[in-house]
Amino acid sequence: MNSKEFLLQECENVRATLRDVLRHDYSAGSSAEFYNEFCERLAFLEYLLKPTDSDDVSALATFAGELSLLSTIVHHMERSHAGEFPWPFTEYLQSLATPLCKENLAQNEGEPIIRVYAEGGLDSYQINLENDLSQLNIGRRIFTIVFPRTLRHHVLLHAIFGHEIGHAAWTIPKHKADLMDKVLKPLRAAGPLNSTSQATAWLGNDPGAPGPIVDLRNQDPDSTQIDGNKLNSWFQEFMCDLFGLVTFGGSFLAAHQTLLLALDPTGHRWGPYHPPYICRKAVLWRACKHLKWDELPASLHEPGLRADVVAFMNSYSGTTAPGRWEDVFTQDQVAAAVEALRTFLSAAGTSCFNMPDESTLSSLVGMLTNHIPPCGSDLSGAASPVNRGVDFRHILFAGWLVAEKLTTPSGSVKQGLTFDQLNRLCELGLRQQRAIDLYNSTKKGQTS
Amino acid sequence: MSALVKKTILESIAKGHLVVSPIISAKQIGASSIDLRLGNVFLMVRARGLSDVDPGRFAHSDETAGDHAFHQARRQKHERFEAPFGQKFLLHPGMLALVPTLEWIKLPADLQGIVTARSSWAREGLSIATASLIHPGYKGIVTLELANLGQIPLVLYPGLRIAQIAFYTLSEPAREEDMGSRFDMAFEPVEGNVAHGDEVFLP
Repeated sequence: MNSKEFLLQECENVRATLRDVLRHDYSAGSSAEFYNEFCERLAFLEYLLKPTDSDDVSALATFAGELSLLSTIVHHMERSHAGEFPWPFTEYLQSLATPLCKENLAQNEGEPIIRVYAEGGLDSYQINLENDLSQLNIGRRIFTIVFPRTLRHHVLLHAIFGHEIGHAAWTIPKHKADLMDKVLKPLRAAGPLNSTSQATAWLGNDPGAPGPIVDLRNQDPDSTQIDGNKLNSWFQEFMCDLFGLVTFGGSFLAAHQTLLLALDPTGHRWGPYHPPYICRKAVLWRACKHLKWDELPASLHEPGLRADVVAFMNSYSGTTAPGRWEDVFTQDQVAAAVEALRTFLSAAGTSCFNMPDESTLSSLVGMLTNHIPPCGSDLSGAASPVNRGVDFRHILFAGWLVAEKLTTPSGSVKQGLTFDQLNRLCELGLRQQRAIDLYNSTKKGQTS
Repeated sequence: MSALVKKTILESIAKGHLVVSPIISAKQIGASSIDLRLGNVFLMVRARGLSDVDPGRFAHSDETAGDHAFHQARRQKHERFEAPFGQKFLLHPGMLALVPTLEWIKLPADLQGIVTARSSWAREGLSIATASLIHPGYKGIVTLELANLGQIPLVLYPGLRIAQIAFYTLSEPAREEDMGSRFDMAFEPVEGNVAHGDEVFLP
């Protein structure tokens, strides 16, 4: 059997696997569209492969790569069980990310096909759009959402997906150009990260660096070199953090800190793709100040709620004292980037986070404190209940406000609620809200 | 012990004494009961070599990390399945499925709940008759043990009203130490411990 014959056989194998995968329950609603898209891709691949000369090793190698990629995606689909990730959260996430990832492709203007699966590892959060499948006549791109398997029910942490939406947008050429020109430009205009030489001097020699940074410099002096690729990657991270904050709000701030400090408890490490956490936190806090979220406590009338918000701010606020080593951008730079990003998202049809009104926030926090899943449920005891639409991000924000009250400094559980139970309450609240939204939208449709 | 009528149920909810959340439609509220909707998780018994109901396994095992056989048998007994709204679930004749209600229930110390099938579904062969008593002080979803007593499959969709709960006052509030169970704060169905308290009778 030569290579071409084997690849034709592999087309059959991938097709057989694709059919076999139908034994399982896919994530919501994507089975038929995924199946049809892949059948078309396989048929087109075979159409190109059959007339190819058996000695054309270059073409055969390309086809082998395409088939390998298809089989990988089919295998991931096999693991896409609705029970392994919180589907209500996924549906809300899709509503934010899909408008952004909709694009003009060769055949039609298609929304991407969503596939969701769980992966091991705390850092496995991902949103990817496939690209560079140039040999195939792509109808619709595959859009992958990956959840950490162990955090299946931890919806509060899933706010980190706001950051991943930024990476997904970056893979679309027209968005990338916009983001570089409008969002990153003000950030790159001044400061210690203005050029690779300045950035290297800042990371390697700046005397104002905190002690842990100095220790890390001494342990690995070579790592303080910042070349163009590293600097670009770091800027992409800063931009994606702003994406997260602008799309998910306060819950992103908390999820970001919780997850990143779990992966790097020092908060000072850096790598070829990621700047030190302390710098990222400083940028986020400047963005919060620009959005006036730091003024939220002063606007609240209810003392208990105000205390909750203050406690949250104390946990997640960063420094904005000018001159601190980690404070790499000015307030004006961050403000310009945030405004450009909000304009960009609005044009794409992705809604930005707005702080909930006091009554909504108070109601959601009150439900959680009373161990009731938070949603727009009418608890007034009215004979004809009027359930409200609630933004899922407000449910997450309320969850994080209550999370602040869960443990004492010694780690004992207060409120009779563990962090796991709090997440489960929020997860159930999201499901209930989906039902309310569905009912309300149908009712509206009937009356209009 | 007397049953609460609609007016009293709504007053109890308004006071925060009783919680049924969410009540999506006014149609759920009956003269002396509230309809409950089907939730999104299904736990179905899986018929295979490692599946059985053996009280002895509970009696002589604990939930320690190293107890492989105990955990394996428990996990292999049920298939867990989640259906988003709009996705159907087939309940075949003779099949048992544990499902949660969409609603979260919180009962005070002086009320208990009785859950039964809605008569329209019962007429189609749907039984949810077992474990219908909800103890005072309970909070969580209600687990419904669905069985199809008919001869043709029943197609179920999350969000459908399939059960109803009625509330009864007690002669006096239950004592704190008598309330609470291992199913308290349940977010989805879990199997029970059929050996609990009867270990002495097991080999």
